[in-house]
Amino acid sequence: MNLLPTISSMRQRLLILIIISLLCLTPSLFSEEVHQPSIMPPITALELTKDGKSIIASSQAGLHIYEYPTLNLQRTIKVKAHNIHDLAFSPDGKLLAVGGGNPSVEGTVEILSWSKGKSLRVLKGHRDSVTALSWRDSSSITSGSLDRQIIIFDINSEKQIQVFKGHSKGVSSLCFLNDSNTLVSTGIDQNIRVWNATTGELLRSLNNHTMRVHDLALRPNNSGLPMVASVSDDQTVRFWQPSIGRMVKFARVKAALLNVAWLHDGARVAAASNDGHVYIINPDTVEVVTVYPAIDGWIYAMIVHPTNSDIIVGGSNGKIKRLIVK
Amino acid sequence: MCRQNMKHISPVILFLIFLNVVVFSNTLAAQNENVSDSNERITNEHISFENDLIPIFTKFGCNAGACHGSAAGRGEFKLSLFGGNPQADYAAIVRQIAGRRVNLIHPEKSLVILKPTAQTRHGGGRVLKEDPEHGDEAVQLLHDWIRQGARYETKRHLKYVDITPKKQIVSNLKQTIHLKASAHFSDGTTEDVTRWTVFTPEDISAIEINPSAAIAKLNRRGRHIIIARYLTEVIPIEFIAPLNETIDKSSNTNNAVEKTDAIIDSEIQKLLSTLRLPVSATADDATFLRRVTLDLTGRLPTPENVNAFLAETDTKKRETLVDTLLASEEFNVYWTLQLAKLFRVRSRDRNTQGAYAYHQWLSQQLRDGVGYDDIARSVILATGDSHQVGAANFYRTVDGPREQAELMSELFMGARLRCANCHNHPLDRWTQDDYHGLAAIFAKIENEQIVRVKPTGTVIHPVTREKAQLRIPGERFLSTDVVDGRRALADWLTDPENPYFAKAIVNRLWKVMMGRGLVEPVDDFRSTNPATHPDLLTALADDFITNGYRLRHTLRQIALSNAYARSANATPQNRIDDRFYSHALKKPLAPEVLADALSDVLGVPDTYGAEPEGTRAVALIDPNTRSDALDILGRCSRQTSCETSISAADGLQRKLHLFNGDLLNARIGVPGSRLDKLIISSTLPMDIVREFYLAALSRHPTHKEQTFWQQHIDVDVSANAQRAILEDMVWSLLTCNEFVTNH
Repeated sequence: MNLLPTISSMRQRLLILIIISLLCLTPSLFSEEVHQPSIMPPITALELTKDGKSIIASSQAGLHIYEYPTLNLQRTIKVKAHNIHDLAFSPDGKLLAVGGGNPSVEGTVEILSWSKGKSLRVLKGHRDSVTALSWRDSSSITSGSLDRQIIIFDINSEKQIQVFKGHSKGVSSLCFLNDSNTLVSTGIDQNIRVWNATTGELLRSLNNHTMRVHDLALRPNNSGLPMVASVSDDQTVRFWQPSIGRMVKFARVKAALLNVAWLHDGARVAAASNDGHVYIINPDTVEVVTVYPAIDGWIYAMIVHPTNSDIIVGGSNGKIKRLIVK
Repeated sequence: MCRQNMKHISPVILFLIFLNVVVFSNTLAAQNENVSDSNERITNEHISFENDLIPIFTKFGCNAGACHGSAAGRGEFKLSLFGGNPQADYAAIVRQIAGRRVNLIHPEKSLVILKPTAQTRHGGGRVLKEDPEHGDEAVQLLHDWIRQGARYETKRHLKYVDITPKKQIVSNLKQTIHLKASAHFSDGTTEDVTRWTVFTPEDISAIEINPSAAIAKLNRRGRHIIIARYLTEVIPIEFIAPLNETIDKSSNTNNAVEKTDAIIDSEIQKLLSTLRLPVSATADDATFLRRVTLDLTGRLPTPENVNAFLAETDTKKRETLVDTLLASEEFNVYWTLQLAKLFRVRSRDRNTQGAYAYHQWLSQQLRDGVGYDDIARSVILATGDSHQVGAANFYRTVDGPREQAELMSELFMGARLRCANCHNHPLDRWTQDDYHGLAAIFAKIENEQIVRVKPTGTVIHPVTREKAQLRIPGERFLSTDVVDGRRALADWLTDPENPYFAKAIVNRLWKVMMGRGLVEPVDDFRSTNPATHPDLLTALADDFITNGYRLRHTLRQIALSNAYARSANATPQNRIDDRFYSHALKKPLAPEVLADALSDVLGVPDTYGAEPEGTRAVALIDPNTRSDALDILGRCSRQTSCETSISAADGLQRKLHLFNGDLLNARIGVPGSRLDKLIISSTLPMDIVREFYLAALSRHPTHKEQTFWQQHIDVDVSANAQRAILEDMVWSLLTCNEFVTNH
C-alpha cells in the first residue's frame, strides 16, 4: 500500500526535477546578455489597440503593453529588431506591424498577430531601419526607411509591390490620403513628397520646411481638399493640401517639433516637441491655443484617442504620459 | 523498498540534482557576476560626455571638417566642429532619430560603436582601430558610458590645459620630443590627457608626429609650430632648430646690436641669435634712400635727391631723411592710399561722392596727425549723409550687419570672425554669440546714403533662432535696453588694454615696411597663429599706444631700426630666412607705385579715366578708375580685403606685360619722354645711362655695368641705332627685378 504512493511520489519528484532542470537549462542555453540600463531607452512609437483598452509602446527593450487609461504596464513582448521606430495596426486591428531594424544594416517590418503578439513574418528589403509605417489596406503595408526608400509590401507573399525612390535622405513619416492611392511622405531632406502609390510616380515635392521634417498627419473629418499637417526641426507646423501642392498656413512655436496628430474632431492639432511640451494649435488661426508640459526630454511618440480628447505621449528615458486636453 | 527504490532511481536523480546544482550555481554565479559587474560599473568613475568622449571624437577625426564636423555633417550625422558645441553633439548622438545611435539595452550594438569600429558599413572606415592602443580604450569608454545610461551630466569643467614643452630649442634634428598635455578641471583635479590631445604640425613636412606616443621629431631646421587641441583649448607649441651649427663670423658683418635700447632690434636680434642666423650688412645709402622713399611716399627719389643724399656727410642724415619724408605731402598722399585700401574705400553703384568724401576725410586725418584710435572711433560712431560725412561711409563699405561685423573685426582687431557665423571658431576663442552679437550692434545702423541709428534692426541668431543680443566680442553682452551699442564697442576697442586694436595696426605698419607681418596673414590674429616675435609685437603696440596711436611715430621707429636698414642681399648662411629679418625682404612694388614709377622714369605720364593729366596712380580715389596699366599690374578693387593680393601684383601676367606689352615698350622713346629729351639735348650716351640708373634704381651704375654699356653703345653707329640701344637699356632697367621691387 505504501509502495505505490512512494513510487508515485518518486516519479513526481523525478518529474519535478526534470522540469526544474529544463527551466534552469533553457535560459542558460538560449538567453543573450541583456543589460538593464539605469536610464530606460526612449519610447519611440505608440499605438492604441482597436478595442481601446491597451496602448502599445515600443523601445529598444521591445513592446510594452499598457492598460488604458491607467497606463499600468501589463506585459512586454520581445521582437526581432534591435531598434523599433514605428507601430501600425492593420485596418481590422488583427495584425500589428513593427517597423525598425538593425541600424545601418537592415530595415524590417515584423508582422505580429494581435492580441497574442506572435510573430508571423518579417518583411525585408530595406538597407537601414524602417522609421515609418502605413497600412494601405488589410493586405499591404507601406514602409519608409532611413535608406531613403519607401516600399509597399504584400504581407502575404512578402513581395515588394512598389518601391518609391526620391527622398535624398531618410524617410521619417508616411500617410495615405483617403483615396488610398495618394501617398505622402516626409524626410530628413526637408521635403514632403507626394506619390501615386499605384505607379510609384513622384507627383510633387513640397519644400517649404527649412529643416528636417519629422512627422505628418491627415486631418480627419475634413471636407474639401485633403489637408495634412507636418512638423519639423524648423519649429513650424505647416498645413498643406498635398493633392494640389499648396502650403495653406503655418504656425511657429519655440522648439523643434517631432510629432503631430489631429485631435479626434479635426478642429485642433497637437504638436510635440523636443523640449517635452505639447502645443495645441488651431489650424484655422494658426495660433497656439495651449501648451502642455508633458515629459522631461524629447517626445518621440504621440497618439490621440479617436473618440475623446486624450493624448498619450512617450519619449526620453522610457517615459509615457497621458494628457487630457481641454 | 524505499531504499531499493532510491537505489534504483538514485543515479538518474543524482545526475539531475547534480545538473541542477551546477546550473543553479552557474546561474547564481552569472547573476552574481552581473551584479558585481554592475556594481563595478556603478562604482566606476563617472564617464563624462563632454570631458571624456568629445576628445575621443576629436582625436579620431570624427568631428573634423572633413568628416561629421563639416557644415552639413556626413552620412546624415552632424557633429559640431571639433566639439565646439557638446550639447548639440549629445543631442545628435543620443536624441536624434529616436536615439538610434546608442543602444541602452545592448551597448555593444550601438551605432556610435559599430560605425567607427567598422562593424557596420562606415564611410570613414575603422577610425577607432587605426590606433589600436587608444582605439580600444575609446571603444571601452563609449561602451561604459552607454552602460552608465548615456548621460550628459558632467561633474567638472575644463579650466585650462598645460602643454609641455610650450617652447623648445632643438639642436639635434634626431632628437625626439615627448609632448604632454595636462587638463586642469573646475573641481581642482588634474588629468594627463596627452593620449586624447591632438597634436597637429602647421607644416607637416617640417615636423613628424607619432600620435600614439605623442612624440614629435623635426625634419627641418627653423621655427616650427605644432597646434595642440584638447576640447576647446588650442595651444601652439614652438620649436626652434637653429638654422646653422655656428655663426660664420667672417660673413657676419653686423650681428652686434647697435642700439640695444631700441625695442625693435633687441627683439629681432634675440631670435636671430637663437636661430644662429647671421645678419646681412647694412644697406648702402642709395639703397636705403630708395627703400624708405618708396615705403613712406610710394615714389622713387629723383636723381637730384639721390645725388644730394649720397653727397650728404651728416651722420644723422638717415634720421633727417625719414623725418622729412614723414612730413611731406607725398607721405600724406601715399598713406591715404594705404588707409583707403585698408578701409576699402570705393564708389558704390557708380556713385563716387561717398568715396570722395571718405578719401578726403582719411587724407585729412593723416595731415592732421590724428591718432588711429580717434580714426577708429570716428568711423564706428559715424552718422549722417555719407556724401558729406566721410567717416559715415564705413557703413557703406559692405552690405549687411554680418558683413559689417566681419569688416570691423578684420580691420580693427586683425581677427577673422567669419567662421563663427556658422559654428564656434575652431581655432580661436570666437563664438557664434560673439559673431551675431557684434552683427546685432551693426544691425541697428541703417546704411543708406544717410547713415543713422535704426532701433528696429536685428539679426537672428542661427542657434537660438531668436534676435541676437548685442555683444562686445569675447567680452560681454550689452544690456537689452541698449539701442546703439557702438559707443560701448568703440570704448572697448580703443581702450589701451584692448588686446587686439593696437597690435592689429602696428602689425600692418610693420608689414608695409618690412615685407612680412609679425603675424601673417595680418588679418588672422589667433592663438594658433602666433607672431614670429610676440614680445616685439607687444612692445610695438605698447609704444604705439604710449605715443598717442600715431602712425608716423611707429613708422619712424621701424624706418630707423637696424633691421629695416639691412641689405636685401642674403648671405649663404641667412638666405633661407624669410621671416626673421636677418636681411631685408624684397617687396614687389604695389601696382599704383609701379605705375607711377614707370611714368616717372620714362617721363611719360599715364592717363587715368577722366582724371587730369599728371594725376598719379597713388592719388586716385576710386579704385575702379579706368586704367589699362593698373589692370595689367594687378590692382585691388577693394570689394574684398586687399591684403592678400600681393602675389597677384607679382604675378606672371604683370611680368609678361612688362616684358612684351605696350605698357612699357610703347612709351620708352616717345616724343617728350625722358629718353627723347636727353637724346635731343645731345646728352652723351653714357650720361643718359647714368641718368636712368639714378632715376630707376636710385644709384649710379657699377663699374661692371658702366663697362658693359660702354661696350654696347658705340658712338660711331647711326643715331637711330644708338637710340635703339638706349631704348633697350631703358627697357632692361625697367624690367629688372631691382626696379620692380623695393629691396
